[in-house]
Amino acid sequence: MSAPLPLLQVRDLAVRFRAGGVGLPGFGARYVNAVNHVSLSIAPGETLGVVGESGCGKSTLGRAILNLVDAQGGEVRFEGDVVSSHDPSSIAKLRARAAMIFQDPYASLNPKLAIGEAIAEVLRVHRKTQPEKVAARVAELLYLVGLSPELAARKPHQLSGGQCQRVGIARALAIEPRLIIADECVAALDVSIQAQILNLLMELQRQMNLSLIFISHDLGVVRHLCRRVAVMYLGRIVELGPTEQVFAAPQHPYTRALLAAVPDIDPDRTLNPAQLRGEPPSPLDLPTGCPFHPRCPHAQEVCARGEAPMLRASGTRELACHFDLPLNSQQGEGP
Amino acid sequence: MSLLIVRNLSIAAGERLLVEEVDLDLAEGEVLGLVGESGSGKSITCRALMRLLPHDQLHIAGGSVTLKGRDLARLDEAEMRKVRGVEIGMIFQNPSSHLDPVMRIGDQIAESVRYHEGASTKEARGRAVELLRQVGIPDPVRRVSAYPHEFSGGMRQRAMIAVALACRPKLLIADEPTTALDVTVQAQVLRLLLDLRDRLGLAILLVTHNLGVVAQTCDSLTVMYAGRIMERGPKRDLLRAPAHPYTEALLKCQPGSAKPAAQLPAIPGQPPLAGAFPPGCRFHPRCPRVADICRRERPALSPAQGPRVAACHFTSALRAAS
Ligand SMILES: Nc1ncnc2c1ncn2[C@@H]1O[C@H](COP(=O)(O)OP(=O)(O)OP(=O)(O)O)[C@@H](O)[C@H]1O
Ligand SMILES: Nc1ncnc2c1ncn2[C@@H]1O[C@H](COP(=O)(O)OP(=O)(O)OP(=O)(O)O)[C@@H](O)[C@H]1O
Ligand SMILES: [Mg+2]
Ligand SMILES: [Mg+2]
Repeated sequence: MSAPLPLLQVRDLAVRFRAGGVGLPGFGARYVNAVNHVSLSIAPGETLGVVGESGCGKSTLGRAILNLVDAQGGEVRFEGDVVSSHDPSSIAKLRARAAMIFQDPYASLNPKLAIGEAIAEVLRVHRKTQPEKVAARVAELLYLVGLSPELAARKPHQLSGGQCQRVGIARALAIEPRLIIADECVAALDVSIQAQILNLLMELQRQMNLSLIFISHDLGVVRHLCRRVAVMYLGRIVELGPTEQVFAAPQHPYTRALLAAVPDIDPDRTLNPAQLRGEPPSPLDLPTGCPFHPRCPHAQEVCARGEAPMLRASGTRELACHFDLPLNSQQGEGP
Repeated sequence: MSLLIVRNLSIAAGERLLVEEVDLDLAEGEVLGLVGESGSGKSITCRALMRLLPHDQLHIAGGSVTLKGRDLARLDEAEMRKVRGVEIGMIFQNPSSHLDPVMRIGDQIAESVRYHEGASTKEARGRAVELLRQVGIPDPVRRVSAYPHEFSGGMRQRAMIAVALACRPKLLIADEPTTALDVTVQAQVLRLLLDLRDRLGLAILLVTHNLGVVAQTCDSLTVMYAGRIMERGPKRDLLRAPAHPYTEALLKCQPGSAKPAAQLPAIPGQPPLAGAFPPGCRFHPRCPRVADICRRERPALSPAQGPRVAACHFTSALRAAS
């Protein structure tokens, strides 16, 4: 039996932004390198977690996959077909079947539009419901995300942060997508409502074979939800593999630093000491060699030279590091 | 002595009460955590302290807010503007609505330094760069001239933190200040805040859903549900042995206790719609220990154990069981 065709394939994707305000006239423009050579694929019904430092390019990656920002290089294939900005029909098809839950719920909603109307709009544009059934479906979607249908008449600023976030989730569910890119979609929710939303997503996954790209800073949630996880640093995937293995035995020094910083709910533990030394490197001036080398406790001379290390197979996972560090070598014991 | 004393604060939308009888006490150098279900009234409470409620929609229906002995309700708008920023810094939950989209990040930080401290343009800009560095923005010398839309979600949140800290407030109201941050940057920001507390006696009201953050930074904790305080006391006591069934239920919902891909534990039922709260104890429709009295009578906040108070008819029974 052959493996199922991936729902989504991303190859070598690169996104950079022209940095406004920083270039001087007459001196070439400067660029923020937000996403660098990212490749990944997702099978139908699969959940891929994406974690990494704030500002490392996770949201930009999500937007580039849906063609909401222009990519400077690489290729996105959805259900086997190339998605290209030169082919509007490919984008229309993608957006009819893939939805994004945006990180910033207020900014992604029209402030003048009642939230029920904002959901109804999606239903109408994608012709998901007969006109006379739209109101009922809106109420149903609100109920699914734990909001009272009575809130439908409210404007976004009349809702709490977590209520607004759930409107974003309802809008994504409205198109009945095959793929959802969920960008920090439970960050504003208390743990109980968060659990309800995650249970809902897992249920939809079972029922409709929904695929998920789950971008999150909450490593506990990622561990629970995602079979595989990609760890990003400065626009690149530095480690990718089965979540249980990556979290139990992180290989890349950045993954190790990240996992060591998870705050514990034990009230007798104080805040962990700093896991990363030095200043974070600038996406305006990418360091040579490995993007993590200026802060890496294991960095050797080779790490500062040439191109960034490519993702390579290492057991069941992929790793972008020149070394296979022994599993027990901890942060700070480097050369 | 308490820096901030809030008594009996109630907030209403027209006739509907959204927040009722909230008391908060914050001493210099204290970190008070405020947790509770989504929509329970944490953010509007924060805004009410700053007198920043959208007055065409929400108003303070009762109670008092006293900062360093002054009743904030009696200040005129000009005096209140000075309090905001000079004495109280506020980190709003949704940074993008509170950063000016057409103004460079650095100017927004520098503006508040100049306005409140009379610093020169150059000094103020230097301080903006330094603040951005402290919250972990890479390349702050160049990023200081970026616009908000050029920042990632977490970078905007950190810019908001920099704006709030720019004029060295005595009290920081931080509404979900680290939701968009990865755990290493989150730890860096929390260390910065705790360092300001240690060195300058900064008091912090920290609203968060992250109980790990509460565990590692707060001294005391207040738990809200449906617009009311359910329990309040030293952080360790609440996390170790909650006296209120809602606090207990919340602690049980932590992921990590469940098997991967299995159903996550959630509190059964839905929270009530704000302003349409059930009679008696507001948590009773979802409470595993509900009894007749809970449907009839609202439990008052009463001493549960040492310095702790809880609003439950069965606090002492709970304690005996655990
Ligand atoms: N302008 C408004 N008009 C009417 N109701 C409002 C308004 N703003 C907020 N509310 C309601 O008041 C309640 C409390 O809102 P608040 O934003 O304080 O919640 P919160 O505890 O901060 O929740 P979250 O954790 O989701 O941010 C919510 O039910 C919300 O819908
Ligand atoms: N429109 C834009 N113009 C210029 N730079 C941008 C733009 N959008 C994003 N960037 C930059 O691209 C980089 C990646 O941003 P992105 O929003 O993808 O990060 P992220 O991983 O989602 O971070 P966070 O966890 O904080 O949300 C950042 O350095 C950011 O400043
Ligand atoms: Mg983001
Ligand atoms: Mg809030």
